[in-house]
Amino acid sequence: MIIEIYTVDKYDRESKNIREVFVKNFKVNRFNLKVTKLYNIVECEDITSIDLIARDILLDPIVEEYIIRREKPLFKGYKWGLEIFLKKSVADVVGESVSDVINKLIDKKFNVRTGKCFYFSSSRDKFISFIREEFFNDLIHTMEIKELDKNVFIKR
Amino acid sequence: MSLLKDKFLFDVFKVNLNQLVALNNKYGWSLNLEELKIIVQYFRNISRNPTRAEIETIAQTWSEHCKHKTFNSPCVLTIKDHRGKIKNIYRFKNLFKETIVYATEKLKKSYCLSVFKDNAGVIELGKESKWGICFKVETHNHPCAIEPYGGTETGVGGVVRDILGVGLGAKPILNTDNFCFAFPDKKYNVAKGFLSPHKIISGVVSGVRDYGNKIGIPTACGSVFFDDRYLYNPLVYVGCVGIINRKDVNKEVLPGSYIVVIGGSTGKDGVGGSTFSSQDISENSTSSHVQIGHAINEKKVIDVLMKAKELSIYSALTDCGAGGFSSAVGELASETGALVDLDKVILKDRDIEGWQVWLSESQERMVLCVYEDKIKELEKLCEVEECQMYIIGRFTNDRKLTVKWKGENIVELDMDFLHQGLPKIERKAIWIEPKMKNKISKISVMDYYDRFEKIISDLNVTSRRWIIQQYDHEVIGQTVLKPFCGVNEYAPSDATVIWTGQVCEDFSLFNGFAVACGMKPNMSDISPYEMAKYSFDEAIRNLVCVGADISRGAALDNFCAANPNNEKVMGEFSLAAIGARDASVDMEIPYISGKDSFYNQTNIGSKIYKIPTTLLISAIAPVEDVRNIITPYFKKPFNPIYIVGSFGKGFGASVYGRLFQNDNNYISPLNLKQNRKVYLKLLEAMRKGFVISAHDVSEGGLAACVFEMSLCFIGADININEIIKVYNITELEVLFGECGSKIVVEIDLKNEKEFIKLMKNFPVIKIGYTTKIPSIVFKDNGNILFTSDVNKARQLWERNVL
Repeated sequence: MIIEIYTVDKYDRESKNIREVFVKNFKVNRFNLKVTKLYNIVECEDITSIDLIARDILLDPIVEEYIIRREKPLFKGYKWGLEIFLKKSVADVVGESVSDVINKLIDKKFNVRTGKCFYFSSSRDKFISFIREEFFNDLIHTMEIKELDKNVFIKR
Repeated sequence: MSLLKDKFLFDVFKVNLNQLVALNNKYGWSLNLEELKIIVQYFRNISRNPTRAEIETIAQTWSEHCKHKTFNSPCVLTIKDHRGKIKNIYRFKNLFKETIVYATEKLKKSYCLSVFKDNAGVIELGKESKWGICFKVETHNHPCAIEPYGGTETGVGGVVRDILGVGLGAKPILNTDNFCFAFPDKKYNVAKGFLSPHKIISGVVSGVRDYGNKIGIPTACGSVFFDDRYLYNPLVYVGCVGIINRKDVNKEVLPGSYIVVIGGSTGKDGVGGSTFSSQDISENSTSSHVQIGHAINEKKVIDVLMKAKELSIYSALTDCGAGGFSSAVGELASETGALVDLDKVILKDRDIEGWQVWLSESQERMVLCVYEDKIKELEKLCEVEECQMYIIGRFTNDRKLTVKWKGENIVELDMDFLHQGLPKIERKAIWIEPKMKNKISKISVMDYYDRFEKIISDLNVTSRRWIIQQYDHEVIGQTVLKPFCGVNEYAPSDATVIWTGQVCEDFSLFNGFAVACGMKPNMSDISPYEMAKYSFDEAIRNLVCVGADISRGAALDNFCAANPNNEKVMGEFSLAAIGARDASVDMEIPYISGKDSFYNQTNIGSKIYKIPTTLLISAIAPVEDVRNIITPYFKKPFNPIYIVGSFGKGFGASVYGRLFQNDNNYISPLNLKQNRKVYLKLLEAMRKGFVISAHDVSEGGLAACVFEMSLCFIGADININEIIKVYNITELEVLFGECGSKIVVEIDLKNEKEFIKLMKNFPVIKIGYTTKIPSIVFKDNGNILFTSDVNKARQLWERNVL
């Protein structure tokens, strides 16, 4: 299961800044972007535990909200979700720390892998090359572009 | 038959040389033919086949990274003039010992407490102080070239652990960072599979920032140099300074003691890192060479160690760096022996082989030699700090390294063979002197300002604020002089000054130390010898500018070069080493530690991209009273401005030369014996309170130096006529030349006479006055060469390139 954390629009400087750099460098006119943080709690199917982890460990409830999902990105209003994770062979120290905290909180040991998702709806090729240049290293990352369903259900 | 996968790789009685070479390439051991032959012979003598773990252990221990075999090898250096005629031949039995070590041994400074034998060098903090300062600078070039963020983070983590591993453990209190990159604002056609300079720089800077800031150590001293030749091979130097009680400087491994690991778990990350950094970079570098740092884990390790040291829980320790346990245990037990059971190691990967556990470079681990009766105490400490610990074996007295995995011995090696068996291969080195040209094209006075603007907006001169502002300079509350100082923190400092009263737990003390650096890599093409001397001089001059006591100072040498199998590369390197030796002897400042990194070249298809031989000199010296340090910005209008030191002819390796006069490669040689005398005299003037600001003339020349001193709203009116007359050089050389070594100083008007009297018989020239208006004016007699509004020029100088 994946916990997806996102900053509410009002406070979301990260998406705004990345969008500005992309628009400026690639001379794109209309472009919407939402950046989210992904925590893949590997081999965990217990929705109660996942919900507890999201709320009690990962979320800053003042500026952030979360979604719980499996494979498919769920964010409403976007066409694609571009997911970047660290490769399995690369140590994920943030994931290790989250795993340790989960262990303390609910006394269960899960492998946690962290990543990012970039939601966007246009200029696909340009945006992918921008992400490749700025956020991606072939040696340590995996990248996957997923098309979003039109009628998505978001559990918040 | 053994159930262990890959236990034996070849039969020593049947294998031929071609097969050995093929295996060497396949497994990336980076061993040469001579070494392979000696390994085969060793196993033939003991009548058995080597295990994979044994070959990997030998490869790691004998790697360039761990043993520095190139620098320690015999070398014949032939120097030819530009026509090809032989001028001189130097023969060295051991290049390192006859250059760097020679200088330190010749100087025999009593304040050096530990040199060249531990993880870092140690000097006295002040005269007869009970505290010592230790300093280490490491390179992490290969990892940063392929994954800049993780590579730099682990570089910082590694060098901090080096300081933790000095003696019985020093407390890390300052991090340094020095980089060499290709220009980030230039369009390069970067080959597929390699990262752009822009990406490398942002990754490296983020890595230093994230690790240093999180671990709670200030990063407050550094430099950046840009040159096209670092495109595929960026250089990332990371350093750490620590404080240690004199009584803790020595360590002792006691047979029977436990081998204990504290810190992170062990996984497959970084397996083969040290052999990877002992070869050229290619498109085939893999993710197994990438490590990611975990600053919080390292902070826990620091906290445990500082308490464990007070409780005398261990008698020796070292860090787990390149080569992992194989290197850490192998080094600690080199005089005793060790028996290790890898099944006791806490693993983070399930699918892992014994040799991988043994060689893993998983981060944030320290290996301790713990007294038998102190284990329980250490367990308690680790529990409180939530730090992992595990006992993996015992030190023995059989001078053998024995390692078990799943009940079988996977390593059984004689310590003597492991540490003394490496064959020494004579290296050939050649240096062909280039033809020196000192042509200076005349330009109209109207163009002077334009050139000044271009120079201060050149990346090798501009402000480093876009990097520096990301770092925490003040954590621990001891940084007296930060990278920027003065009004609005506009002026760049020459050195960093740290107050040590807090760490030494005596708040009545006001002493501390200063750290600075010097680097002039683009001089390597013209004269590697002078390059080393200029680098050394710049580092020391920076210390002088803040008023540090260089008569009790020390230096670190960090060389980086391309593939040493190339005779010309070896020529550049060995001549630089000779220059480094002479610089140290002439300045009477010893080396206490250092490092060399080779194979900084990239092969793309048939093309080879090499870096220029680069020497970073990092210098450290005590400061008697941190309240009396000198800062670089002008303090008051109408004070006299003097230049101390000497000018030289030529634009070789200067910013002006690169931008406007690249047919001029002339470098004036330095006289460092004379410079030492000048610097000591200037320090005397500083102690007497005559000097109220000082700044060294470096990249960009005098014009850039005066501009930087004027950044805090006090301007300057400069007349260069006297300099032209005394040194017989052109206006352009005075304004923008970088040859020679000089410091611009502001003298308190009321002390001017005493200053002149004190500096009599030393190269000192009055060049003007400070002014009320924030602008700089350069004149040659009555003729104005150019004027500049400092506030306007600052916009160019402060440009952000990322």
